Amino acid sequence: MIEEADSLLVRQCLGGDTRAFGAIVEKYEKTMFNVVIRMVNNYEDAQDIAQSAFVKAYEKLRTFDSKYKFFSWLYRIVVNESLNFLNQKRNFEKLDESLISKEKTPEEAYDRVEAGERIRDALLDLKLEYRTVLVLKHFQNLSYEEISYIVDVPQKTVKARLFTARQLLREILLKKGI
Amino acid sequence: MAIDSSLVELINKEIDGINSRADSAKLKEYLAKNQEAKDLYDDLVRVSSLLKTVDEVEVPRSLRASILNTIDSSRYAMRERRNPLRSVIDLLPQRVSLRYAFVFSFGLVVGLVIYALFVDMNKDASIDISKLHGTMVLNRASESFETADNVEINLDKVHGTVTTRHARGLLSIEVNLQSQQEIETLLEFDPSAISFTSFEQPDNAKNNVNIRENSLRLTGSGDNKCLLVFNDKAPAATSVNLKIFSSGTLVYEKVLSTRGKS
Repeated sequence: MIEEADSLLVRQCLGGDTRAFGAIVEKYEKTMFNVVIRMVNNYEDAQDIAQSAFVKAYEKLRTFDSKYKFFSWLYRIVVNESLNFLNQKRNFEKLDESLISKEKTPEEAYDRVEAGERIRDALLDLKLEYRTVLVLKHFQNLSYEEISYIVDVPQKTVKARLFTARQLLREILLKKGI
Repeated sequence: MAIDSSLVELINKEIDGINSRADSAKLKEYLAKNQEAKDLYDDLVRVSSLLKTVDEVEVPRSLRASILNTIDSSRYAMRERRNPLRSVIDLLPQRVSLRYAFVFSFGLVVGLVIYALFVDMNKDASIDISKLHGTMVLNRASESFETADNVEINLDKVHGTVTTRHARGLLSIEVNLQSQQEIETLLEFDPSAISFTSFEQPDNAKNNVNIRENSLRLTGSGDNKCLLVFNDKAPAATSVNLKIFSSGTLVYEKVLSTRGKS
């Protein structure tokens, strides 16, 4: 039923009805924004990335293959936008890291943030490939199959990354005393 | 001592809730014998529940507007002009609803004709068809239903949509809710403004519908799908109060509009 409604909205968009795209944005903005913010942990960056992802989705709408679920296709664009942003940022920070150290002692970090924030911080310590599957599995409750489509790797790889991600996060949280 | 990889897989699958009953029992047995594996399992369960403590973040209010202002709204407009049939299809409110509305309209027309014939027969035992004249058409209201309200519900126990549509003296309410537990969907209305006419459910729907003069109660679990049709006698917009109960507790309430903004 959800897929049928989404497919109809897509057809309406392709028919020139931009209000239909407004309905798509309204339906998915919260979910997609939350994926992005868990990936990048910055409200303003998340807003820019979510905006850019939705605009890209609109531009690529004609390439959407209705044999897939629309929201999985949208997730794929959103995750890719987040990863591109983080990769670019990482390259930029590599150039910049000799100038200033952003590291905080564990005590400073502990005092500064609340429990939820500490977990979000811990997620940032994970490599992107692990963070992505953890966000999609634990915050979006997606199946291995859906994650496999979104990140474009086999299900076996999704499982392996997820299992490793959980163990790495466990170690990070233990180190942070959480 | 390293934990066997097959045991790690069982632990993770247990956390994802996809182990079979036999695999869960096997894991339980392993964990009882292997303290290291038990510690890993407990820690990963803890990690999983800690992740659940992270709250959802509210979307910036300006996000939708900035997206819609950024997109090139003329991008697909040319296509529309080239394919007029597609644009007509896209104007339809929703295929399923249209089907229900079409079936309802057709049934209404047939019912009225039969009723008229029955009344006429009572007046005069012999039917004089020469007195029957006029034009019979399908009710075009089905094609001009205008969405009045569309509520999206995203709760832990219930999610889906409730949509009201209005067309020339008719009001339809499409309930499309999914829930694992049994829920009660209650619609309260002013009987002097609207009156219940009919409802349609998919063949596989197992919901109970309880209709009173000023309310309608839909009870069921799983897919709660129903198209309700009312006669709308009100000259202006009236309201329908939507309430959803789970285990007897009110979990959602909203006043639905019966007319569009235009």
